[in-house]
Amino acid sequence: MYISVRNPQGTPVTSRAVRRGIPQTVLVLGAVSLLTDISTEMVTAALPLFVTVGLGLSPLAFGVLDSVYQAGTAAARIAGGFTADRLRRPKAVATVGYALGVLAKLVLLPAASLGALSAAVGVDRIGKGLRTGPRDALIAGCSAPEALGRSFGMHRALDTAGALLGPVFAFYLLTAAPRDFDTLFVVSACIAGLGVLLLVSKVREERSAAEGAPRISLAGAARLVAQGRKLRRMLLAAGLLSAMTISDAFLYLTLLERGAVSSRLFPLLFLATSLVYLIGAIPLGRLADRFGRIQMFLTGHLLIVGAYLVAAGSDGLPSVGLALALLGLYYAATDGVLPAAAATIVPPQWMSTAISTLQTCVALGRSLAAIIFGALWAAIGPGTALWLFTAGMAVVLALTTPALLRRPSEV
Amino acid sequence: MPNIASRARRAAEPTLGPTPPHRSRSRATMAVAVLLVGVAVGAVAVSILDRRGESGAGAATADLFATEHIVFRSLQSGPDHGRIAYVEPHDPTSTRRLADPRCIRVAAAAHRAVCLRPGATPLQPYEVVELDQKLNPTGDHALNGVPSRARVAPDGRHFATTTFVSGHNYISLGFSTETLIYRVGGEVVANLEKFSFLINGEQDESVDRNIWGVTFSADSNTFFATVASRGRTYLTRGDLTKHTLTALRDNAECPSLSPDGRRIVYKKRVDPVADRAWRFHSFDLATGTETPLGETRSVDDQVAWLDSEHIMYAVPKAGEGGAADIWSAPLDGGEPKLLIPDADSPTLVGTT
Repeated sequence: MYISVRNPQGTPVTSRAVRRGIPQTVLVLGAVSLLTDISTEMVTAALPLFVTVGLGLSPLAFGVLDSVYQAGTAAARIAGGFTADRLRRPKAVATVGYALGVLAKLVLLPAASLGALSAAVGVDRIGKGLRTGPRDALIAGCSAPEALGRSFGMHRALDTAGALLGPVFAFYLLTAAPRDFDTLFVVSACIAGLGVLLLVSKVREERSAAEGAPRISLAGAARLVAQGRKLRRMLLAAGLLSAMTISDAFLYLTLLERGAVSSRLFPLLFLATSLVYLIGAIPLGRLADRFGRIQMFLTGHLLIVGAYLVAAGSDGLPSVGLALALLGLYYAATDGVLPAAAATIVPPQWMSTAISTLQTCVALGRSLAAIIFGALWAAIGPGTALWLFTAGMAVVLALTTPALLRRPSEV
Repeated sequence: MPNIASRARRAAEPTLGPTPPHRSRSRATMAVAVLLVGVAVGAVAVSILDRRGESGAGAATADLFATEHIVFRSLQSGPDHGRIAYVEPHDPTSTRRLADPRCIRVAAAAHRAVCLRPGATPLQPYEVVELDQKLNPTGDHALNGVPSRARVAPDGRHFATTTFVSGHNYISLGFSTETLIYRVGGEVVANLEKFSFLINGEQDESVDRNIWGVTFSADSNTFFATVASRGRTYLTRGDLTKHTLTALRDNAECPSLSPDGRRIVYKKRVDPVADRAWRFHSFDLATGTETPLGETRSVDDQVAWLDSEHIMYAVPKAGEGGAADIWSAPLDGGEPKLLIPDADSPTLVGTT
């Protein structure tokens, strides 16, 4: 069957690449992410129990860990992206990032203090930061330009599947071997190790794209941002829009606070959101390829405005379900679509750096949003805070949409 | 057209898979993969086999609640690790008797016990199980978070749980607790976060309030608990019918009320450095005097009363994840001593 798609110039083409399916490298990278996410999420799910039961530490100690989780990523992300481009070895940098993920689980084995635990968590987050940009650059590099959204969608679907399976793995492992955290960490490290092995043996980086381009430098990065108007707008818009998103945890708590959902169902909220994301990632990626990635990215933010509106008025399970579905679709419409959009406007030799920087803007925006929302929650209550963020998102969306869509061509 | 198609194909088909010179490399890859799977499967198998063996557990004997016993969680390795155990307080190192349930935390009083443990499915990760006087389960209720503290009221009408709730996702909320008081039978009668909190007679309106570590008085309407608000912790007196928590003093966590209701032992933060953070203090409710106990290690536990002059608590063993011993310490500031090895989560039953 031939599928007609639009190429960047807007003329329909029939592409064998599209017809023939998703590039194998994308599938392999998806499998690597699946394994790594199972490995990481099984540890994350078990960490609270490990801290309180395994180490006998106070729950309070866990709050400290969480901030370590967040801080490690941002700097490592940009460094990873830049190094990958500078050395022209995205695979090598990604491999180091994934290998750090394995190391982090091994560090947990003798960890018997909060310091060691923080170190393990920090190593894991640095690894995650390092690998994200180069990995996405590999995905972009091996995908046909007109099928970028689908490739990223496929990858994110597999990635999310791993995040969903991790806690289930952890639960059944701890049921089979109660309180044996060492075994859990060993199994986690082995699963992450399989991911690294898969990456090293099955992914060959595409070198042709950046060949002949001058070696990149920091000055070049400044020029890229200074001259690349589209990229600059995209960075700014992504950061601003993210700064108006309510973190999932806060949104779930808002639903809880409204009495729309009982605390027993709390673990299911995360599950429901992820399932929608998992199911929606590929179809929305394809739609993004067809109708425009920036358009899809903006639509995603319309969906999250919808999610907030539904949440603000939710009073029972149907409305909670709708809010979660909209939230999941927001992730499906933005998380993989944003790097796919960036990949079409950035010179190939800058791919890792650009995607990393973009994701850092998103991450910093979300951190800022969480701090602000937390403060508003405490000061004026969750209901009003939710309305303020909904209004804020609508305003930012109205301001950024014309800027992002200024050129009629696909951005 | 063919040009576009072939370019697209080239882009979509990165050189993949082993080429002939790489055959030995692919063998090595296979070997490492098999090794990794083997290590993972082996680790699980060893862990499961380690726990096999004849269990010494059964239903609790009739004298458990009739005479004084320390009920605790046994941490001896082997098939009975984590099960509820009990010994007589005058002979704590004698052979412990074991009951079936395995718990993360256990508490007992007045002919009943509660056991906080992992649930049966990933959708109910933790649950609180009510146990009758033979320590047989009579019902379970889902818990929202990792078990932290549990207490049964001296009159056996209520029990309380504290769980540690963690946000899940990119940015989580850090630390928050949920403390519930149940009527026996499982009805939740109070979520302490919803109680009004009074400091110096004024209502504290802050939203980021965390409450943990309930201890009940004899009438089971009055209780004490820790409230954390705006970066400080408070010892509070709670009233179950009035839905209030009243601050008595600050910097006091995990209170435990003496059987005569006159004194409270809590942990006080004496050092901002996490390693030596807490020291147990006893507090006289009538006079308001506070006295440090002789335990100089920083212990993070809610103590239980052994008799009118001694308390007991679990101390994790350094360097051994999950291992702990129960120690006792006198109120007069004397030396602590080892009470029950390989055990934690103690409470005393059979006092009345």
